[in-house]
Amino acid sequence: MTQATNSLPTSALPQSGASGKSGSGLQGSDGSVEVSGLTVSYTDSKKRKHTVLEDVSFSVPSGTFATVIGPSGSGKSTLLKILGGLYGAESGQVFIGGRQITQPNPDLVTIVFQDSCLLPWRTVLRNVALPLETAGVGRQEREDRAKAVLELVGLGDCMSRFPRELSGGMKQRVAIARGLVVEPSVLLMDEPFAALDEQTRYEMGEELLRLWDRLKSTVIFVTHNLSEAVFLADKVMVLEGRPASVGQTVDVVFSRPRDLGLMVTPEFHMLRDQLYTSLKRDRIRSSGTYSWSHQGNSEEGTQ
Amino acid sequence: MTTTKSAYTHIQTGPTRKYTVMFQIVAVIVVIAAWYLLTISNLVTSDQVPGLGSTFSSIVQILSRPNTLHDLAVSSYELVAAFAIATIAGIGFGFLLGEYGRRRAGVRRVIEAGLGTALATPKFIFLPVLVLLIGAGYWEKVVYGLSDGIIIMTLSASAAAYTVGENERVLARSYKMSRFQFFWKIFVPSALLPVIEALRISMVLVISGVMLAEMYISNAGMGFLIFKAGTEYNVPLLVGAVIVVAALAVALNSLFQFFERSLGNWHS
Ligand SMILES: Nc1ncnc2c1ncn2[C@@H]1O[C@H](COP(=O)(O)OP(=O)(O)OP(=O)(O)O)[C@@H](O)[C@H]1O
Ligand SMILES: [Mg+2]
Repeated sequence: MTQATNSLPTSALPQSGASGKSGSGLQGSDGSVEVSGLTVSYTDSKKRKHTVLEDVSFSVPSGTFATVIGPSGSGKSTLLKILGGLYGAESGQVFIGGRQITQPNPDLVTIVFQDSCLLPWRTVLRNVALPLETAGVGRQEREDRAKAVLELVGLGDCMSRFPRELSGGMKQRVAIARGLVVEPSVLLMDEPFAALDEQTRYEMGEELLRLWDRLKSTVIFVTHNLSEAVFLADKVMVLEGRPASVGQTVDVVFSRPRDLGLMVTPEFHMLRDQLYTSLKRDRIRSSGTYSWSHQGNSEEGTQ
Repeated sequence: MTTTKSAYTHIQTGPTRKYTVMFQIVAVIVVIAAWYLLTISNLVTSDQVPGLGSTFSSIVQILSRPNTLHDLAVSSYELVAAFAIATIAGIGFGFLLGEYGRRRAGVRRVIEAGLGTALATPKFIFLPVLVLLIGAGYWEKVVYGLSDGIIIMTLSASAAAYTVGENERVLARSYKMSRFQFFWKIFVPSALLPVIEALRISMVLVISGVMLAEMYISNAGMGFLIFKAGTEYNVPLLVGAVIVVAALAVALNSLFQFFERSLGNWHS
């Protein structure tokens, strides 16, 4: 299964002429993310208020690959939902490309979910074209654009398959293609590779970097996995505390393009261990309230 | 492919399907053979069980004579109208009920309980009252015929709307789908299988409803023909008409089953 999903062609982008892209989303458009004083609460069924995020502030320059890590339940998915305009904050503001986010903006920001969330009754091609369809793009153009993105993620010959005929990794690629088809300035990814086996997970990460290298949109990538967070990022943000806020921000300066060989270098380990220690401290501080459910992942890079 | 487990495991494919078809053919042959043996035995008279030949010729007559063809046409119009209204209105109401009921579970439960009670009540006993209230024309028969079908369709579409996953909803919201787009792109495809199942049941109820209405408040239609043949002791005509109606129901049922099967193949 892993074998079949592993090769994203490194060949050139589809010619922009053939793809019919407007080029509006990616080139030149501002994908900077500014978050200030964000506080978010949920009300439970007994009408009690739970504050999940408190006074979260950070900024991500346009074209940056940022990762967010934090223990399970710390509010990572919640943060992405707010950035995607799916959920309203109690206070604080989110600006993307200078526009304040109060509702979904599918042409500016798209989300790739952990569960690929493909519609089982649509072919791969029609799943990818869905965002364009809802935006009212004509049939021919949306098919051309969906095909171009599918070529890009290496699924050029699976376009007429149904989701159930794909492996987990392939489904996730379709979901990524669907996220990219509208050429968003910012791509939000909520643990997109969490359901994949370890090998596939890192390979998908490597491919994602290659893809991002061409597209240069801003990516905010949530993960449990420290190695993944460090490997992918320009910038790692750690959500800690309860309610959570951004505790630590680490700039990752490893040169690009990166390949999986980076993961066995001492510098990589040092950085990852530094993050691990900070997370562990946080877990001990708030003893028992958090569970670092993917604890095993912290050891992955050292094998 | 063959090992793919459908969520709708009752949809038969492969060998099971073949056996079912074989069983159906054998059953028809057995019934006809038993019928034949009965008519040549001395156990029943031809007034009780008509001969195969006379029944067959009465079926041919029903399908060829203008006055009986007219009955068939009247019933068909009523069935088509009742079924179409029950389907479209039922799916529409059910969608609204299911969607609204996500916020107001109490309201949804009360309405569904009410519909369940209405479905369980034999509306047959109200037929004379209905005739007094609204008369006995074409639309009255349609209304009577669709009453059970529309309830079944509403309940099943409501359940389907209620079970559209949170994932699909978040997806729809993140792409800013309109209510209309959500209905056509998410709800209809995801509800298609349970709704087609409900369509089959609805069809049976609509046929019974229309036949009953015709028997009691009409002077045309297959229900009326059956009723008249019964009162005139025209047994071959009676049995022939019953067979025509039953064959229609079986054919429609098979058609829906065919849809279910072909949908089940891509709708995992
Ligand atoms: N719709 C909701 N209603 C009420 N509480 C919620 C809701 N969604 C999330 N929560 C709560 O908010 C907190 C943060 O949830 P969130 O899903 O953002 O965490 P997370 O960091 O993504 O966790 P994980 O790593 O397990 O995915 C949790 O305590 C959760 O119970
Ligand atoms: Mg999460």
